[in-house]
Amino acid sequence: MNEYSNVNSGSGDISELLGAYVLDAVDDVERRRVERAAATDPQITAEIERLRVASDALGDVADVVPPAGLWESIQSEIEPTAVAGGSVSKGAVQRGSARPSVGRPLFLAAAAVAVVFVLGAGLIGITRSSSPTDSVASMTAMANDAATKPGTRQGVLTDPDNTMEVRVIVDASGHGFVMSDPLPALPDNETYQLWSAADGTMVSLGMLGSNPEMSLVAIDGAVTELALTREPVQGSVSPTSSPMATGRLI
Amino acid sequence: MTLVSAPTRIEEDGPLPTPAVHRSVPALGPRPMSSRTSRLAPITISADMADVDLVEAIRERNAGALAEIYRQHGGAVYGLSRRVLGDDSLAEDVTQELFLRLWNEPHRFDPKRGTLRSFLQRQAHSRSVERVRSEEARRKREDRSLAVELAPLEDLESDVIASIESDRIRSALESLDPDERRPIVLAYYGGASYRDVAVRLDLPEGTVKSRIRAGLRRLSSLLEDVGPEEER
Repeated sequence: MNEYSNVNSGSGDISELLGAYVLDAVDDVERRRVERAAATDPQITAEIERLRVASDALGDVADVVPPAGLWESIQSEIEPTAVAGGSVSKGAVQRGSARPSVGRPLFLAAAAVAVVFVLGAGLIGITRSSSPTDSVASMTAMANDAATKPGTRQGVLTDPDNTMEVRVIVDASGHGFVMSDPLPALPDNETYQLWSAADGTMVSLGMLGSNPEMSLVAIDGAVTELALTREPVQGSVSPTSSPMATGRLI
Repeated sequence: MTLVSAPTRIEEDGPLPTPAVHRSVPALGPRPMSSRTSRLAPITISADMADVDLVEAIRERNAGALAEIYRQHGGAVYGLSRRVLGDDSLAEDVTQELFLRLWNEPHRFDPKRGTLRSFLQRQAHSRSVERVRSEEARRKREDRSLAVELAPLEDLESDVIASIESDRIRSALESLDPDERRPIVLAYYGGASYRDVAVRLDLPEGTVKSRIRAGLRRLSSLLEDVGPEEER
């Protein structure tokens, strides 16, 4: 017997996944299974924390001086939102010329494909039941890539109790990535629906499906307030329930 | 685990950054991205500030706080990303993305779940692995018959172990049984899923999961037995 015996006996194959989980070596479905189990089982949480002693140590592989100009590149992105007097002069962190533009042919190509989808259908969604993991990974990579670009707006939709967070990233062209992974699955006869809210008026931005993982939605630059509701599967012209999560794009 | 607050840096391109000791960076005025009450007193950013105070300063939109965090942990984030991705340019992308994310979403850091350094390193690893798999998926889509060139496993292991600066971590990893160390090295530093590791090592998936878990348990115990490392 050891301290993990109870974890093994009570959680079936979840406990076998924990090592791979802390190494990011599981797929998205398995990751969610582990996180759901950890949310309700303190023994699983305790073992994850224990295994993280090792995985965090593995992460401390080496400090390498980042390339000259990387800080300046970061700084140029944050300056518009820094308070007066809070910015740091160029070169304060690291000496060097401005970082050359980093080519991202993979993600640019993927983005081009995504634009076709947006223009053709208005919204695409990847659901847990129908989408390959690599599509989610590709879209997540595109979203995170967009998050680093000038003109991109971001927001987090949260419920009143802050029990979940749905991140939304809207690039300068209005391509909105809705990372709806934290949403629980709905019955098949219901769908999540995203809305813009302005002056008390709710305008539908699209239906995300009953079990969405990642959705791409066209979001106009004028939209700042977002709301998420639970609707009948065919969708609604106006919300039939109070928003379960709201957020603001900044 | 004690983590260093002043990382060892390899001087490659001129003098080291000026230590941010008591560099005063006032942060006054409204916060544009939050409804929280604005802090009215200036924040003085210093190298010995606690993680939670630096992140709080970021909430106040104080760029000096982000600069200090970058000075302390930028090398670790970049180093880990480069280790996993094997590509300087992609590692730059990941590093930039993570620091911008910390700037935009500082609330994601929860000090109860570890240090800021471990928070950033976990994100760096996760994002780097996502990119490795995206690239692999793209290759598979483009040419399903493409045989991916894989470095010999022994080379990866020895390369990884040699690159670890910490004696404590390196010796703990070396002391693991190779049957447990190999899947851990392939998964963590190679960005491979446990399924990919099983294929690479020609083992059942269940065996790989068990060995990873057992190896990490043993590594945790070894590290705890040795105790925290002295600051570099």
